[in-house]
Amino acid sequence: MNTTLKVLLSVFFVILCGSPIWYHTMTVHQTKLPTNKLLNLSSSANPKISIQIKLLFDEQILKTQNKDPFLSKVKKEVTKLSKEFQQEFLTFQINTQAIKLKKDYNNMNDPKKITKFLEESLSFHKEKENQKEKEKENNTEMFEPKYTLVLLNIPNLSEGIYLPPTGRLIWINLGESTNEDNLLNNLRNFFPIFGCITNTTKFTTQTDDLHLSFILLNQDPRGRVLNWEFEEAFNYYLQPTLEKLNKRFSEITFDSEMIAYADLEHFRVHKSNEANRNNEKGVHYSISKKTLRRVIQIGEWSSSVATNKPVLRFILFVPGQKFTPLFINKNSGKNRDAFIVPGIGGISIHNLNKSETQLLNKNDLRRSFLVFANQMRLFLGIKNLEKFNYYDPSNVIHDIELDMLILDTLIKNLNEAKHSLVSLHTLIEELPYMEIPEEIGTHIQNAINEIQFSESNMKKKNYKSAYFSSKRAIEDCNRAFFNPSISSQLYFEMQNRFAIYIPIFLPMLAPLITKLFKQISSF
Amino acid sequence: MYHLKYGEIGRYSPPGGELIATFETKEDLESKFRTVSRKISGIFGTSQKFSDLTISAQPFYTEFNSLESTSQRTHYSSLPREPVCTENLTPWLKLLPCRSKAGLASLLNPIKLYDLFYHSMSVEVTRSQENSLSFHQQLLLVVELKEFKFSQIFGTPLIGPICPFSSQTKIQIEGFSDYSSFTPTPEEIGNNQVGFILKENLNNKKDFNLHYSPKENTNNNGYNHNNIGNGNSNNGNDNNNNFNNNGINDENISKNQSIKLNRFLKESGKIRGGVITQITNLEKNDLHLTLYDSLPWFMRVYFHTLTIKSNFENKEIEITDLNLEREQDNESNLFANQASLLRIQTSQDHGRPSIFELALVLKPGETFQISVDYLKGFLNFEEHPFDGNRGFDIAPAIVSMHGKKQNLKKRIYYTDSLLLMLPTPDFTMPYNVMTITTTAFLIWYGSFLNNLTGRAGLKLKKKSKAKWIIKPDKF
Repeated sequence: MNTTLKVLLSVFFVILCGSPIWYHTMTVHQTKLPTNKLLNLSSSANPKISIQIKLLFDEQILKTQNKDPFLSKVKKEVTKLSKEFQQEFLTFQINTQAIKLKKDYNNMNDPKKITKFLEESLSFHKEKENQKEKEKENNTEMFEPKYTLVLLNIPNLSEGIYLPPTGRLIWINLGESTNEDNLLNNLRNFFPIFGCITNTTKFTTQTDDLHLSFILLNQDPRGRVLNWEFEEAFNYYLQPTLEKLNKRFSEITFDSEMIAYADLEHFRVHKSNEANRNNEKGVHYSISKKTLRRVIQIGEWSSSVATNKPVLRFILFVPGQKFTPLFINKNSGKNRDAFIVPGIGGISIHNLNKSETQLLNKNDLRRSFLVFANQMRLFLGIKNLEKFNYYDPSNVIHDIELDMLILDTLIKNLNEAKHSLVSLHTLIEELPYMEIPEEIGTHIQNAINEIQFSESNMKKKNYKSAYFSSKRAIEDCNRAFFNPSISSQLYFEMQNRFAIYIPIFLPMLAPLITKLFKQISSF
Repeated sequence: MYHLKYGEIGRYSPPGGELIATFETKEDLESKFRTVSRKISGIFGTSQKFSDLTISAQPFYTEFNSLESTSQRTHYSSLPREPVCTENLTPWLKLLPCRSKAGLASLLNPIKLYDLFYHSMSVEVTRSQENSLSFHQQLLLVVELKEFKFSQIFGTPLIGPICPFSSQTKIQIEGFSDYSSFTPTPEEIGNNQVGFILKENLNNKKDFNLHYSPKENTNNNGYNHNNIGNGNSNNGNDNNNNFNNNGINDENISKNQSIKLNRFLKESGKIRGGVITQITNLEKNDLHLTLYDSLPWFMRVYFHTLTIKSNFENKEIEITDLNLEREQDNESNLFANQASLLRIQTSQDHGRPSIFELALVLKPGETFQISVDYLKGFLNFEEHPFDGNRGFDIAPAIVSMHGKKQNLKKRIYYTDSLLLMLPTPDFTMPYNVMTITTTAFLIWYGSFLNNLTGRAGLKLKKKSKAKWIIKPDKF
């Protein structure tokens, strides 16, 4: 064997031995994931949530009917109705019963008194106390979607569905007409409450924890330095709702601030002599609704608050003397004085009357705070339904709405968690060269455990624990999905690696290979 | 040492950024401080989120505020390299109710502001014993004063409106000997100061101008040199509102100063060095001071080399190791000796800084020179900043004056910050390695390929004139 051949063979020997070492250095570490569990979870359906509705009829309504056949007929019809509204995760169990209410309530016309009367008559207050005792014993808050629907006929009160602020007792006033059609119509109007949550107006779908920032924005403080009794107004109008939300749903914090000097550059302000919203004649100013649509960010109207949560701003805008009174001009209909900017918050315009002093007290702030309360409902995703009487404006969120919010969020969290786990699994499968550190494996395992825990709690009807487990599951999924180690990697397939090395080594190897062939052929 | 240069007119800040946080309880201070530093970082657009355990510490014997016994619950960090600019000014202004739209804050033009001799801004939030919160914002500027016109000083005229949220907007002037020469006439005249109260019905068109017309009898321009350095007292009559700043006059400055501070590095190569801090008592009474010095972990301090020398004595001053529990001591125990070592914290690599705290008693006119040696650490390639050869900024030391006996206000003084040159790795090495290895490889490969691929051919060799020999040859 001549020297040339020896050299060539040694070169190729080195390449042969070095290639596995090179290939080994190219492999990436991927931690083992519980793929089977993951796939089983994703394919399994969420346990259904059963909502129990007890339908109570006042015997007076049934005077003209045969009691038992009527009740069973109504039950059948209502069950049919409920199936129309049944969603993937909700099922209804309906029971009907006739009751005799002791007092003559027909002459009442105050919804609050009627609610109180019903609670006493049906021993609801006793149930509430029993529930509180049970909660103290178990050291947890019970949450059972059981609702009592009472049908009454009160001629002095408007027809419709009345939602009391607290408790799971709802009553429907059939008015003067107690026939079957009217009854079924009213029941048909009732069921949409179980679908009252929507994502269209929700402030953010990423998280339920929010920070509320209340701002008093005095456009031109010259001559009138404003102050507001924020604490009193907040404690009266919004504090009970926030307490309810913090206890059962999410962590919501708040702050307040007073800012002066703001410009109206974003909005085109028109001067008008037409009658204003109170039908008073005189000069007033208006912003067209079209201009509002173009507002993307408020800029200097925002507060300076540092928080990790999304900030939802409620701005009480007091226009300067130059632009008072200021309204939002709807194309047809009344002038308005409040609007929302998606992603930022809600604004309410407060035109100072001449009689108002520079201190806005609780009563002066009533209208604006109720507007904020309604805007908060929109941002939480709660719809205002037709035929429902929200007769207590100080109560922002009713118990049944909060129940639906929790259940809707629970199901959404579970679906999202499963979906993101499956996406992550698919991504890992498609990119075998993506490094998966141990940390991600731990988060995925935790997410799976939380989802399983949540589902088992749903089967036991412990929806509160199920909800908080689902929240933790989402957090773990996000930590896995948005782990910094994934985003910093460049994913090279093997073909790409060859494409990097070939331009270097091929020109080097080409003459060696041709020389080798020549040597071999010369033999 | 800005108080020496510009006078004691406010609380100066050290260069860069500083965060002092006092918490209600001692538990879990570090994680609470980390949360606070991140939020402050977000609000003011600073790099306070980098105030981790390698930089921050607890000064036990420095009282930053007037509340007693807070030092055990106080966490402190300093970022001397932090640049202060418009992105910090804007959120600072946003905290004001009128922001920069009205009042004195409307004068703050960033272009002019950051062109001044000195500027610092601070926010102080304190809770009183009655549990009420007070929020204090201070902006300290040192301006070259040629004319007393706001448009000249700040680049923006003060044309109103006045912020209606303020109970009073006042321009206070100190340091002049003759206040009657000011027009308009000041509303408040006090000892060595006057005040001009701005009202809401300010003339919107003209800049609010102060005119100073010194009387004929005065030899100087009326300016009292005792406070802010204006060394030359013989400027002559100047009726044109021109003030000449002719530099620092040490004699005049020291008349109203309490201490003089100096701090510098005693460099000796790339391996070791020393830090020297000089403190001079300019008062007529004894001064009780505490010195807090925090040196980063890559300055490996040899605490046995900690020495204190005095200009009054030839030998070194004995440092008494007090080793006291903080709750047990009181001021008299701390200052019982001339120099007492209150606390030492050794550093941990990538963990925590070196700290020492001393209690010193200086006689009038005495100068203490405190020196300590260190060994320079060698940092990893990735730990150096992008401009590695610039050096590392070392936070200033803090001198705290404790003055119950002398009825002095408790004051905090900062020394200068230092610039430490650490031994740097050769940042061109990765390039060098790549270059050398590829060159060596190519040289080998080139000659190898040449040998392999060279053709066997005939080489003509001339042996004599008569004969030609044909000889096969390889190349």
